[in-house]
Amino acid sequence: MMYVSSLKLTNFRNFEHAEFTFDQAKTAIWADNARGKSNVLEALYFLALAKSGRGARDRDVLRWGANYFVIDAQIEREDRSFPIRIAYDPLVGKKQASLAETSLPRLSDLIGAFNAVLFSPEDVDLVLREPAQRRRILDILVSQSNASYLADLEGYQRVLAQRNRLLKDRRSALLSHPEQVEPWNEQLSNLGARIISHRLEALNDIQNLLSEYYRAIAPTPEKMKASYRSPISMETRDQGREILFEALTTRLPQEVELRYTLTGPHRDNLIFTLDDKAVHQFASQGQLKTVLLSWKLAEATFLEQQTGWRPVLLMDDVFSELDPNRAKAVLNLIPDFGQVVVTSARDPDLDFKAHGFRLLKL
Amino acid sequence: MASEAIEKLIAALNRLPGIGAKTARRLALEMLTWDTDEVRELADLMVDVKTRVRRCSICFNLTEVEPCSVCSDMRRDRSSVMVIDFIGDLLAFERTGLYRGLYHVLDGRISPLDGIGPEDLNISQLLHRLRHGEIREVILANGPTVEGDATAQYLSQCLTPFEVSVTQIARGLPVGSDLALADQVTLSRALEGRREY
Repeated sequence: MMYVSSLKLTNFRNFEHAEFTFDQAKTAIWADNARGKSNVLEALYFLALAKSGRGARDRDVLRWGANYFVIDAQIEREDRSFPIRIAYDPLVGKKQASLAETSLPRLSDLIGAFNAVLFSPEDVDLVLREPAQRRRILDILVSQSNASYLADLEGYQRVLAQRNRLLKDRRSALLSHPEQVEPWNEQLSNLGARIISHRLEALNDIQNLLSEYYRAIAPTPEKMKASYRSPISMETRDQGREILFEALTTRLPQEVELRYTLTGPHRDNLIFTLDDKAVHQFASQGQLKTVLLSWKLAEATFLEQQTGWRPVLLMDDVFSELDPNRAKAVLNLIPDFGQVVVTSARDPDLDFKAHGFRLLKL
Repeated sequence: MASEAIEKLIAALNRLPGIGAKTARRLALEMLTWDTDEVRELADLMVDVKTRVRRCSICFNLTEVEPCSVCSDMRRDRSSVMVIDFIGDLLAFERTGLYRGLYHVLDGRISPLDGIGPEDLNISQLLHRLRHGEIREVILANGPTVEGDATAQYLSQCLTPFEVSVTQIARGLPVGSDLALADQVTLSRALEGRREY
């Protein structure tokens, strides 16, 4: 197992200087609203992604009026204990991460050193209703389990931007000179096929977990599934490169017209269904929350299977958002996970202490 | 403000790459302490470079004579040409002293985001050399970036009609570095490029 034993924040969100210690089991951060409970979870998640899991820019998490921020944490694993530090200086405009006192040449080198999963109810609508956000949660899942995935994704974005610019600037000249777009097709189909293949494999691995967690939490017996809509499938993924290359070639006239790239992982869709009906079209708030929560719990289990380390599970205000039956079901699942940090405004219905939580009052 | 002349000099030095406002000021003040002859010599050198150094009409190396000392060196292997993005890359290879063939400087990489297309690079000149020369091997030594890869792929398309062998320099680990610190892409490329020991 892997856990955070201490966290020190300097100029992060509302904290000028703050230090927290966590034990390896369960911690419930207990405070009234607007004391910064969510910010502590955001900081812990920052250690896993090297950026805000809420999609905030670096200068947005800087305490108002401050000119730098630092997140220092100590990570414990059975085999070793090491510090992670992330520091940001807006003058340089750059974040710097260091792992075990060694400064890392690239931020992305930090990904995978420490794994965490964050569930935040405020994400529910945004994440489940927007295709781009659904791709993003899938990307977060895969990149924490596979370090080369993130590099592929970054490369893909760069090639895509280059190709789209070409489509905008050269337009019809491209139709008579398709050789100008071919080098980009080549790279886009290489990287794109690798990305899609990793996504498909991860979804395949996570499928049973998803439906099990959904069944454990939901009071009703629908079957939850996640399916990936793409020109490439699990069966054809060995020919993924050729399939994408072919599509990029044949759809060029249409792309020149529309001025952007129509095929690739950036256009694929991740669809969550309950009894084969898409949740973003019909599900209730309670169902949506349960779907995202099942995804996050499945993600935690998947990461443990892939990396051999139990990730830290972070749950923001989850219990006040769920109805009592679902909340109880989640509490009963928690012993299956490693370190868990939850936040809560005072909630008399749930006795955290009885479930083995250490209370941390902000 | 010290004087208009010195402010102008600082501003001019500040335009150089790697010279910030502070360094520019330091350099300008330093020049004031030199003898007038020393300063004139430096100024003459700069003008001299500008008037005498040109680009080689064959390979686009920097040179004072036409063609450049690499292109005119008959002891070099004239059947092999290495394609590189920038003059700095040529200088780096020459410092090793290991490569004994010829060069071709493209002067950039294809990058639509920067408005650079194939026609902005010295590609037609390379094809001209292939049509009228004794070149049998083209070594692609474009930088290991998305744009460098696109440039190499574009070139390899252009080179198919020619009877030349096209090779690419290996990508892998920097010597003297720690394997554990290398990123995944570098490691996988190094693995792909492994060879018999």
